[in-house]
Amino acid sequence: MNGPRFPGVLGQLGAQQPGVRQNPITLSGGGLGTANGHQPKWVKVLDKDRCIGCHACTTACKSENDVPLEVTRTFVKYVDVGYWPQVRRAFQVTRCNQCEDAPCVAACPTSAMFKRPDGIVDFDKSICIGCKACIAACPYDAIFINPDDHSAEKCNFCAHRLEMGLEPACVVVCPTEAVLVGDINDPTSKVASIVDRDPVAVRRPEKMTGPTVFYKGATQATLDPLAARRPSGDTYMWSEKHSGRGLVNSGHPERYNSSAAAVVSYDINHTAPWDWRVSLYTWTKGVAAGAYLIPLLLILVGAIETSSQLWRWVAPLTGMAGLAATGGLLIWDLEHPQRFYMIFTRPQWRSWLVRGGVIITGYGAVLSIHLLFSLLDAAPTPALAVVGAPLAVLTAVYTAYLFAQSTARDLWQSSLLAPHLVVQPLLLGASVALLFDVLGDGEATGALQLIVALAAIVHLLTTWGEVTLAHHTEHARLAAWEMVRGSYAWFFWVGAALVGLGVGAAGVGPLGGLLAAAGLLAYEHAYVQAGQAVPLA
Amino acid sequence: MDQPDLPAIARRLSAARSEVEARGGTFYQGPSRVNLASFPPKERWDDWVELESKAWPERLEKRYMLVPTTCFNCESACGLLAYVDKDTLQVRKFEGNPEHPGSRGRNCAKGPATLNQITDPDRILHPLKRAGARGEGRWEQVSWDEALDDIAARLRKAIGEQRHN
Repeated sequence: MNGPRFPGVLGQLGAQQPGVRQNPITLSGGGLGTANGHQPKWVKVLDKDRCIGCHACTTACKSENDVPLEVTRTFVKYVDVGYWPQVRRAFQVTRCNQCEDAPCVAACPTSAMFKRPDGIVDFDKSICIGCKACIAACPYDAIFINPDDHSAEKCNFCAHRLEMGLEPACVVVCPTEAVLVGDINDPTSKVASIVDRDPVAVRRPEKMTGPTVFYKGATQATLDPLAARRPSGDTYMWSEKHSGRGLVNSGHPERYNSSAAAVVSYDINHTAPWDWRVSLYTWTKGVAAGAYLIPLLLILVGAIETSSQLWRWVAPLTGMAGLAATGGLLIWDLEHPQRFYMIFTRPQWRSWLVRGGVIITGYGAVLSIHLLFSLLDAAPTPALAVVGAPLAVLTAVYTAYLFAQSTARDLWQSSLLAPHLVVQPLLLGASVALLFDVLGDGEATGALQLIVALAAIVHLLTTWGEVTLAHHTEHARLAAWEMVRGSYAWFFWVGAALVGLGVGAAGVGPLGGLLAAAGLLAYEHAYVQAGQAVPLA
Repeated sequence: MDQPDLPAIARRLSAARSEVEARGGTFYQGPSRVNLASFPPKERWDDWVELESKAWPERLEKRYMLVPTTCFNCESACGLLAYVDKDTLQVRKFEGNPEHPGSRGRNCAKGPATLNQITDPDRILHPLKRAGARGEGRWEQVSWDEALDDIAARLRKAIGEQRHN
């Protein structure tokens, strides 16, 4: 069948448009050729009625694609359901879902992750900068950084084998024919007949990614990563759990999302993509934005003159120092720091990493012009703020969109995040300005103390909202639980206490601002890390 | 249980099969029942060109000879094909052997994982003959000729003495 595929009985109305012929590649002496007369759209069916959980797909994939130890493109998760003797071990072959609307493709700043016309989400390691945005975005935890070449990779349906006319390695090896590949555009194919007529499920349909890997006969206990209990102790039923910084174990740590007795019995290592550098970056970026916005605010309310030291020197110098630290942290966090320029040379404009990079660069340019005015002994004109203020606000706020693009992380989908990220720079900027103000002529101490106190109170109220307002998914609720009571409770409560102390101490000088700023850093760390602490696979 | 459209599949497979067979090759039908083969045609195992997955998406061609061998990880002894890189003579990977009468191309996790053992630093590189008493753990290195002659002589002696077990 050629042309588009229509659902239901409309399919017979599908016009017989000539499809794009996918010519078999010509290998010197190799290749098998394909007999398809049309553009295929590859999908896979994982038949859980047949799977025996033998891990052959895992090892075949590893040797075919030379995947190092500790990481996998595909693996088999085990969940034990029931009480002995009425118990069964459920298997889930877990891998990239080749989404129709792939979050990793949208998040990738350089198009290193890309969607092919035949439906495969493929990758190009030579242009991967290693920002891990794809990993943060993937709701299936299917992408990893290869420790050998430091680039992101995942299952790509063995695209190189498909082009040779060979089935993927996992399909060929499977002793029970539980892994099938085929063309969903071909209604006579085995996969199309299963997908169209048998009950099949996809993982995380609520993410609206349109997975093209279909599970036949799968139990909810494996499909939903929070439907099974995480066993206590340091092992699953028969394999070691992994512990350490940034490692995420499978299963629900407390009240799991199923009434059946389900417990994770085997899983691989999962890691949170973004470490403390990203937590710190949200803070340095806040300093950079606030350092400019606060003096501007003071000028607008008439608290200081444009000739003030705060406006002339503190704003551009602190702002630029904050931006330099931000850029440094972001580049340091890349697995390929030397490729960071590719964000600008081959931008993928849907990526908030690219948009943020442009915003930060623009803001940096405004601060440079501002500094130039000061160096030329002219008071920087507030007219420049017509450009500068929006850029400063965007510098603060774009991270909310960057985090929201991390489709996998439900905690970060909060609508409070953007306003919260506007308040935080005000607190940080006022704290910095207060310090310089007290060291200098003290012209705006009162106003700055008031801003510190108000911003700290708003921050605490917003945090209160983040924690207590209804979470729209169990994932988000669990992330908030990890932040407030779980692994990051210490950072969270110390952060809250310091900001609280800051409110009280704001009246007695710059100490209050510094306490609040330190508290904000602790909070940022708790928020960024807890958002990544929920199992996805 | 829904059945796939078998005549259509058969038509498509026969088209793919005749395409391969027209080029003098055996078409190994895979479990997906599509126009994809599960293994290279055996007529081309001596000189098989494949795209290297590590170089992807660059289409880097690698030449292999596919050497039939046996998985030694359990007593089932399933068939394997060793993909020997023609440039380096290193084994790149193991796949199943579709011509093996027992496993017919399929393997469990141990089959492809054989790759780990051929470079295991603790693997036994030469025939070893027990030097001390049983269980003492002392061994001496012997040649293949010596090992085979010794074992054959013992077998011959056992057969001669009617010791069939």
